[in-house]
Amino acid sequence: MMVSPRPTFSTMRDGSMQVLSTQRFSLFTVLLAMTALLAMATVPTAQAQSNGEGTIYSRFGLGSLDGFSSSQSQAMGGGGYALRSLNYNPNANPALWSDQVYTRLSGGAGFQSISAEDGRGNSGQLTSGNVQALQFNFPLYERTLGVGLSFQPYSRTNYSAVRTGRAPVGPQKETEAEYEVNFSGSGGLQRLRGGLGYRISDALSVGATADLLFGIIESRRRTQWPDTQALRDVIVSDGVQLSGLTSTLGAHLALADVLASDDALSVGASVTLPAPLSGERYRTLDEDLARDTLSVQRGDVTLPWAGRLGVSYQPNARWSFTLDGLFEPWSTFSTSFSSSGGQTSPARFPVGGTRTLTDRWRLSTGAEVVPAGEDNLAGYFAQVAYRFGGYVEQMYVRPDGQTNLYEFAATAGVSLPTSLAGTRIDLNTTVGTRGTTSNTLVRDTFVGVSLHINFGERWFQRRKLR
Amino acid sequence: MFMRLSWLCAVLVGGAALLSLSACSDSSDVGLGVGPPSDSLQGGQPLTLDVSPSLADTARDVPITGENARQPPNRDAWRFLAGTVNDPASGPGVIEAEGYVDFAGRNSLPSAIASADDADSLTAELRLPTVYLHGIADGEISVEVYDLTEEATMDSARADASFEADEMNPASVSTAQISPTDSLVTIELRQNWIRQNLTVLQDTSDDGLSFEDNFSGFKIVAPNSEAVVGFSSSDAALRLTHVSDTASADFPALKTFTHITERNAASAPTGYKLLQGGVGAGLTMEWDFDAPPLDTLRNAPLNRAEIFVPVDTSELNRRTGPDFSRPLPSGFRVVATRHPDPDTPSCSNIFGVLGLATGNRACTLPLVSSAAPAAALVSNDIARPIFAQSFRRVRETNGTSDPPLFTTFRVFAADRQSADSGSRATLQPGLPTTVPVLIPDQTAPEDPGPPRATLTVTPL
Repeated sequence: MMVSPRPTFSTMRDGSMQVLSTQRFSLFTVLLAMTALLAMATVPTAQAQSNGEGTIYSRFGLGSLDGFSSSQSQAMGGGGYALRSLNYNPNANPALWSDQVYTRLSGGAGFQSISAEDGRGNSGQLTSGNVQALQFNFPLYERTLGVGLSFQPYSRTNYSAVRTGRAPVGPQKETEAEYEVNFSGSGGLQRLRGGLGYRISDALSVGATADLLFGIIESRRRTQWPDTQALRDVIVSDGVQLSGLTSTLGAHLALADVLASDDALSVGASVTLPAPLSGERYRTLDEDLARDTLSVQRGDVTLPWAGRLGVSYQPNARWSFTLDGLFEPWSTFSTSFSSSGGQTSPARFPVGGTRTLTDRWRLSTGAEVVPAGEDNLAGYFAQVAYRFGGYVEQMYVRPDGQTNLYEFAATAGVSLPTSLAGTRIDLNTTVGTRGTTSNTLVRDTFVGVSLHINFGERWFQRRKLR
Repeated sequence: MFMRLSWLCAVLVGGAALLSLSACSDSSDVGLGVGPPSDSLQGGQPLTLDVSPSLADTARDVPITGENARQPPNRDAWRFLAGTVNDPASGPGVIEAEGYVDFAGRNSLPSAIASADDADSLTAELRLPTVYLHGIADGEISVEVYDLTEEATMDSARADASFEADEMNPASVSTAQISPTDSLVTIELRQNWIRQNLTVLQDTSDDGLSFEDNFSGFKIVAPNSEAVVGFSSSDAALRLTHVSDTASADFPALKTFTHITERNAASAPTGYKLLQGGVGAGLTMEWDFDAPPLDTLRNAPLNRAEIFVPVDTSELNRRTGPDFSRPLPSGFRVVATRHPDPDTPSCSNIFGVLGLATGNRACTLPLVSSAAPAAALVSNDIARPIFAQSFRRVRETNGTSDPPLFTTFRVFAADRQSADSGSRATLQPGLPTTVPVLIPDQTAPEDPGPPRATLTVTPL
């Protein structure tokens, strides 16, 4: 028996076709707009779709890992490896791409505010904005074979911390000037993904992707003089530029009438293969056109595999529940970059060495309710999807080499239907905490909001005669 | 369609707002200690250190002391000097200055003077406004004025040049004396000199050029004086006066020059190096980039650099008697000599400024004019490229390195009309002067300390 994803939102039963040229105009308009949004976010930091400052823990490893899969799963705790939907194409499991009816373009931008606190009671406020993903999916054979393309951050480095002081300057000993040493990180790895999802049978789907990881992770130390122009800023940058290929394989099993009539139970799993990346790390002086390269070193790193397993249960057309787990053995991370320690040599990569990395695991759960269910005639707010969830994660970085760090967060979101068939606008929020104030570490309390547009239309299909 | 665009605009505005909210950050020191000690966020603290050069009083650059009002460059407030001074700060050194002045002709004269047949109906005098005094101020100074025997090219002549004068027949009266503290001194010329030159003095042909061709000018000396007096070049004049008519005619100075010699070699007091104005004795400074501490700073990013050559004005004043007058120089001149390596960039390439090159290998460095007379100061704008580029050159790249930009830096006294004349003016030759300047050497106490480059670096 074939188990279809529930046409949860009225857009599924759209028998009337629109004029193709108009559809293309709409989609291209959105595409251009999203590109503009992406460009706007990338101007400040050329290597990352991020702007602003984030957690100090992004200094370690490859930065903060970004596991965005879809705006739906983000509001449900960030898992959703088995969650089927015709309005979303989750990135975490390519097997779910087989369920496509619409050509779909999705994108989103987020903002996060972090209040960081250390063991001495000091605190700082950091904010950042970022583009979360740009995804493009379309069916080759409706509900059988789908294609997915996406571009999104894999990791993000955006920490910032400042030390201030005074120093004598000039030949007269009594002349002093205030200085600031600003430590900051920028960049991160990006992931360009392309893949297929294929329904083998009514119950089983599989998928595979090819993933190109690339990017520059840069740490910068800027000594600047806020009160005078007479002293030149000194900017020392340590960067690592990496690129390489990997692949993600996924499977999805859909069962119906398991616990009750007309319910649906899904199990999804995916594995990302270890990623061998090669590149170079460098140390430079100054910035922009005046950059002076002090040294360059080539090397390789290998990112660990990642395994995901999720279950979703839909007892009826109104409710969906998910439970997901993720495991990444970062203790197996390896690098050939040596730490020469010379003045002009780049800083160690990863910061603190591989002993600062540990296995990452993540458990998440979430629920979604659409009060209207399949009733397309219900009121607007009854057709809105309300989502909530939460997760706990053991972070893959362990800056002091001994204290495991955890992140706890609650998530929520609403999904607003639009007059465009197949298009929804999602507004998500996340509230949580990570880290600890013991052992000179830092606890972040973060609040994030994000806005997503999931634009879907039928393309390349024959006009139906009424 | 309208509905679609409305949604789209709302989403885009919302997305943009989310991204722009990131400007609200307030970075702090939270997180600086996170991580293993070997890789914590540290460093970046700037460090200021003084780097003393090796000093030698070997620099010699005889200054320009000649000027022609009609020839460029037009030097304001130029002066010429005459007299002898033994400055206590110079040890046994005695400086002797001989002034030269030539006058411009006139295209007309008062009729009483132009038609005078008898030299006895005329008087002639040199009218010289005083603008400089170095030496014992009290008492009168005997001066002698001689005719130059031939036209002298004083334009931009250096102080060691001299011009032939008829010293057997003085033009001035034998009793000519001046008071160096007067603002205007007059030197009466002999009637016999007027008689011999009456025709020339009355010659107004060719708009006065004929006068200039036939009159070569004067040499003014005061060999037995105890002071050097300076006269304004622009205001000096030769005045002819008709005795009965009281009509007068001034011939303004056209060219002036000062010949300066050192009779006994000057020597600096212990603990000091001596800059001797007039004779061009300067200080040579050399920084060794292969020796500590500069060899350890090759890779250190440079925030700021200054070259500071202090003057111990209190020591100068301490060596001055109650009647001794000594102006402090209102400026200095620093000339850097580029390394002979053919790859050494030009002055304009080093500093990004035109007009600093002096000769093949020398760059005259602009100074902070207001630092005088207490110091010669090369500002960060100029000193930083010197050290930053030199560090870059001496830093080994692929196993090779280049020499630093400059081999020596020479410092000279170069008096100015005022200390606030601006850094561009410090590129010009200084006014003729005879004053000594005491520069503390490496044995000097901390204040004012020896000449030094003060570098603020941020170690890698």
